[in-house]
Amino acid sequence: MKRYLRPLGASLLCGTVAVVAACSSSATSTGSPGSTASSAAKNGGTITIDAGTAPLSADQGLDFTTQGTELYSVVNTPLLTFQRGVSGVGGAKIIPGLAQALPTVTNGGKTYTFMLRPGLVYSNGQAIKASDETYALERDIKIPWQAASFVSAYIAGGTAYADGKAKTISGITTDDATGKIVVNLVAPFAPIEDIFALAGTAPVPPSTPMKNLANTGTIGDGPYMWGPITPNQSYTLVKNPKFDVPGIPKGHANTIIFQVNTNVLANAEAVLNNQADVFDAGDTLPASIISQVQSQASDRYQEVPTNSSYYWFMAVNQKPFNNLYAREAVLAAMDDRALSRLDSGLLSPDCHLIPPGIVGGGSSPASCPFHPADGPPNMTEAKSLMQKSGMIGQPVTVYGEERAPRRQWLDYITGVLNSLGFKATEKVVNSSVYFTTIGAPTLKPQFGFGDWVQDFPNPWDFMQLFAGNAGSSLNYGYVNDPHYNSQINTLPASTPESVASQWTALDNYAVGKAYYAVYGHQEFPKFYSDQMNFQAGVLSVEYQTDLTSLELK
Amino acid sequence: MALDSADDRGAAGVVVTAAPRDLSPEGRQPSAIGPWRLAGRRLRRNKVALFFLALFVVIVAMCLLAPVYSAHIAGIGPNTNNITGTVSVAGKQQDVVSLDGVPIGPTWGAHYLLGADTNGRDLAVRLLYGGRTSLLIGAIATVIIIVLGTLAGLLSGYFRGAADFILRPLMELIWSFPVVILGVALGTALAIGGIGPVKGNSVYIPAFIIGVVYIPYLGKPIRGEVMRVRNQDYIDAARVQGMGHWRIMFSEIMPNVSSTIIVFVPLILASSILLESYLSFLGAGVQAPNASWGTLISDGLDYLQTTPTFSLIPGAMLVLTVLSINVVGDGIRDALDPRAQVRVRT
Repeated sequence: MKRYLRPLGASLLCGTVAVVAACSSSATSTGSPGSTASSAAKNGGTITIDAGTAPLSADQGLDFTTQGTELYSVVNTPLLTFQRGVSGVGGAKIIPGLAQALPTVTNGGKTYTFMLRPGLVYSNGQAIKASDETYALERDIKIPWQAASFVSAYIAGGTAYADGKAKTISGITTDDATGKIVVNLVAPFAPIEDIFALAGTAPVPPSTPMKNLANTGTIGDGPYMWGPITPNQSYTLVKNPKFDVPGIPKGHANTIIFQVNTNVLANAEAVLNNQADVFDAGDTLPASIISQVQSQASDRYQEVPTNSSYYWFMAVNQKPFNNLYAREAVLAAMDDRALSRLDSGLLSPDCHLIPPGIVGGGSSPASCPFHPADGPPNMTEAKSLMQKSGMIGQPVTVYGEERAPRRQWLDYITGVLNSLGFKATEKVVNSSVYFTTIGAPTLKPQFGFGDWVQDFPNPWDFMQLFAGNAGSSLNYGYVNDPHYNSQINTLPASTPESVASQWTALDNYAVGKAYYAVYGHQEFPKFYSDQMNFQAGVLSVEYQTDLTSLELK
Repeated sequence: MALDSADDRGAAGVVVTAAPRDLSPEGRQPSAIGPWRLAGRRLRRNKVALFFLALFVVIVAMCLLAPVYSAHIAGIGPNTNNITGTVSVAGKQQDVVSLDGVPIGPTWGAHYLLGADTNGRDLAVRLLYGGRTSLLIGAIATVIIIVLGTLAGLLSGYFRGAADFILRPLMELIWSFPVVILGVALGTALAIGGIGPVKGNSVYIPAFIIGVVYIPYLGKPIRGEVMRVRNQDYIDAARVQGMGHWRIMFSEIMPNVSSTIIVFVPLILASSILLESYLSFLGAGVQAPNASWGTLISDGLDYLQTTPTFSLIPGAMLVLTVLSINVVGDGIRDALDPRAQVRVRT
């Protein structure tokens, strides 16, 4: 936190009048940040973002990665949206997107009614109809969207549609004439508003094929539209001249090019030397260049806290991690401080899944079992637990990503498992296909890397990862605990604030059962070239780099 | 023996060939000398080749002694992470990996002699273990190439017909791919599932891959040589005497192509070690956490500007090893060349 506040405070003091205006707009969550920034902003030009990892797809109906969200969230505007142009928690505030206002909630929290704004059009000029929303959600289920369970499990008729037992999602009714969209839920579920603010739920024209459009993306309704795409290499966004939704900024640059180069160090050097404009916030700035960046570019580099959790999942349905002692031994032996150093020091050690910035989070790292998360591991206890487990000598395949520092994390944890007496071997998977690989139903990995970056400010967003009854394909540990499932089903009916202590208790319960081995929450790098207006750029908790905030000097 | 001693004196003299026996001008009958002994003598006179042979032996010995260095000097294993540890440098305790993730550079002491990598592993230990891996893969690949390449060349060149119809296009097919691209493709694919009981992260996978992609590079020349030899009169004579095909191949033809194979051995070994490094550098060879010189060069790239030794030292080891094998290989080729001349004093 201190590292975040210092440069921000300095920047507020030393800016010009125009920059101060931009600063104030990015430091507050009130007013209309988009319009404030644009009054002093320079519009036009081309901005290049260098990224180490490509999105899984340009199609928001399939992809659910941080890299993808950055891009298609400016192409596909959903019914609701998260406020743009605001750093920090203010950037998680939900405002109307294509809907005229926030939904009306009736029927004891089971019915949400939206009204589309009149006169909305897609980037190709086609009118947006209320029924397009139904089609988009059906498309999410069919393709399927990586977070398809968000839709299928909670909207009435979603499961039947997913199973092929219904031709449409019966829980959604629309009226194209009035723009009315009524969504009926299976049970009261507060996060549904957040889900309708995700780009994956944005309407698409009914002519959009029901398949992954990785090479083109979909026709959208946001401030930008897709230009040329070369999957895994470059993704171009160009301004959508037809976009005009009040409260949502139109963006400054005419063209934004997101180019992928797996050599993250080369990307950082390119930004440092002004050969590229933005270092993608989803990547970790390599330790080898951080001191150089801090000395040569301190006025255009900042470490920004985000709501994210990094963890190891352990498959509780198979040997050796179906044994509680074996799982606890991992928690006791893991040194979160070491994992933080591998992450260039940008990771705050913690064992809890809910990050401190989310309601229910903020439990002290000192309360972690076996040893404080920010303290040395307890190898004596770990080895004792291993003896009790009877799992010494069991083979374990450890899955991890190729890109730094995730491969280094993999090397580290494999060493820890071997030191505990497992026969651990590594399996390194290309970053762009890692989660689809480990999520394949046939693979059933025993142990592996996982991370989650906030989709919306609700503890359910994190805790649902280990729910066994939500049909989630994200529960890589195959956790299926009746108490956990029950809480995941009941707590979302209430606002997070009203049940904050219960969310905290659920997180502690899961830590006590060693269902996951969380090791920290990460700060993301905000690093721009000299050509960029650094103060105007926003690193959002929702969108990471908020592309509508990027502007050239 | 007389010629040996004469040769050792190194004076100018006549050209001596292995056969037929001849009388010297003085009427003495020089003792006969076989082609292998003659080759050995030529090699011994090649001081440059001998120097690099000694260098290669030293490198191999260093790598073989890696466990001793690891256990008794460095005190840490090649894959042991020590991220939060400290090391004493000039009387001061320093973090092996700093709080912001920068590993310590060379200490030039017993511990972390060449520095640490990002996971706090001792680079000197990994350099030696990496050398073992690189040399082991090179050696296994060379054996695969020699055995399978020779067999393919023998069968294809001797039997011709159906065997040649199958084997020659197969070798041409492999030959037509650039070795690095084929190696990366196979390495990436096999690293996922392995081969049968051999897991994807085994060092035998890159050894197998290198062995396969280089088979035509020996098989094709052997095939040509066999086709030439099988038309010789003594082969016809052997056949007339009732010798079977396999016996002709291994007792009549093999000895006559063995010098070709011997010349190829160092070249193949050097090429295999180099290819292993390419593949490991690109992530398709030796899999983490095991080290090879290729992975060490790759791991050190991030620190090329601040601590270039991380990449340069494994790079230098690779260059010296390949150079020494190549120079020794040249020496062997010269030594086995029947047109080479050995001057001895008369």
